[in-house]
Amino acid sequence: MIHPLAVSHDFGVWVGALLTLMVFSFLYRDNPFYKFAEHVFVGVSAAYWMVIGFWTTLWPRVIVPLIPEASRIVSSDTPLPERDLSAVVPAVLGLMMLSRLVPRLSGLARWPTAFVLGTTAGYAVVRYVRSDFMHQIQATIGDGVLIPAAGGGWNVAESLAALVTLSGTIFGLIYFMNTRRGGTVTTPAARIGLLVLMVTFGASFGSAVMARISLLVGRLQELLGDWLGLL
Amino acid sequence: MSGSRFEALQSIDRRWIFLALAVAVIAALVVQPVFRDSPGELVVPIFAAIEALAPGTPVLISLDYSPSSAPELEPMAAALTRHCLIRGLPVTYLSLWPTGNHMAGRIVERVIGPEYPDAVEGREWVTLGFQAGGELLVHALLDSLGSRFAADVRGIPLIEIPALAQVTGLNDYGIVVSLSAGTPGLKEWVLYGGDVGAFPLAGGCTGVGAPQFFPYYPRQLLGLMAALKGAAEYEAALNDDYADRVPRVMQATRGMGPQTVAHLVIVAFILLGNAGLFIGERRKRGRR
Repeated sequence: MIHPLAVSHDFGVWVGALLTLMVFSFLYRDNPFYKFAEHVFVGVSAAYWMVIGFWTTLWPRVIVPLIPEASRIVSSDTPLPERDLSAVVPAVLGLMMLSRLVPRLSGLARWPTAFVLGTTAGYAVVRYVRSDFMHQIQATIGDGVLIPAAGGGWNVAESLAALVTLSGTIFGLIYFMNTRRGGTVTTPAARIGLLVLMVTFGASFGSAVMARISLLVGRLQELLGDWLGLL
Repeated sequence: MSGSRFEALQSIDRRWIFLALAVAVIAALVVQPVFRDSPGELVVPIFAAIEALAPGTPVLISLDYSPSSAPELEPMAAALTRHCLIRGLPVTYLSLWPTGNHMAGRIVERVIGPEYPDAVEGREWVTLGFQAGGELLVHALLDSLGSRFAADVRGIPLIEIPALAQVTGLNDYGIVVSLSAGTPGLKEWVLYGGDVGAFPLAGGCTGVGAPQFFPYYPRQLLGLMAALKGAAEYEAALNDDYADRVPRVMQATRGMGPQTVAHLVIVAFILLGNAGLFIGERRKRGRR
């Protein structure tokens, strides 16, 4: 139902609404209003991340453990935490990362980068092999393609779904093995695999469109509702 | 219609399509058609799992999204919050995204405050907020929340919060739900949380992310709310069981009307473009 116009008196709502309209103006063509909104977004995002990063990571994990007295700046009645000198390690690694800003010392930044990449890769490989490889193989072939029904016999719908999953996986793999450089498909099985991939990409694209429409609906709800008070 | 007009159907200026879409969505928002959903196969297990929890069992909701994806994911957070508060399940909000504190604040401001005025922060819900670390944070929380969160967002130590009285680590939660718009998010919860820990893990995701998560169901994910439709299905389940305790039309159900109309407009343009292609081709062949 449409309500009489009741424009918001909230400054934040006005800022949000005007920035939204500036971004939407790009749909017509590139223009200074869009550029302004884009730059504001990038600037505010960077500042927000910096502030959040400082107060949730740098302050409690590095500064306060190294200088417990600093916690009194935020709250004078907080009991002083114990000094933890192990925080020197991340502090030094962080400073080494900043050495990229000085060309003469930039090589130092390789050490913390190597530490982060090495740790993450080593940690992730175990999890990925387990969750995205072993468990997914198990999910594809684990129960076979004949799924028993609760009351005896076979569950036709589930069995068909299992068959499509298994055969789709196999044909998809065949496509990658039986395709020449340039994308020439060499076998009928690979052609079916190509079809499976196209259906998958189509479904993904459909999902992406649906998501974008949801965001459009969300913005228009805020414009018509929170800003203009029409909804 | 001449052949060139049919060809023109294949190259409509995209701005006319944007305009048609905007008009259709605005019209649908004003008229507010309601298309009632029914809970789907992937949503029912989440609803059933929360229904099966004994009152007082803690539930963790990880708000791994930002304002840009809130229209899709916030209705899920709102519906889950309503369900938990109705059932007497204390909710813990945390986030792998720096914007998570603000997202939790919106749920409190828009759902808990107006609909559950008797709910008390610290007893019915607690916001732990954002912590850096992504997958490493999830792994650390398995054994102990206290290892990464000294206090909630108000600065109250975890040990003094009644909503966390039964909680040491993630395994003490009756269910963990990650509402995820990207990385870090649901994938990290599956890989470093659900597949390692002993707690039921469910998820909610944007439409863009949904194809990535479907393969995890049902072995690695208890259930999945995919996009606004998934949220609308959860709202339908709530309406079925608690019609007198939740709003009749909630956020996602309200959004599905304009969404459906927008899809119809897109389908119409696809049909128009294809009709132009086929009829134009046929006329060209006829002239030869």
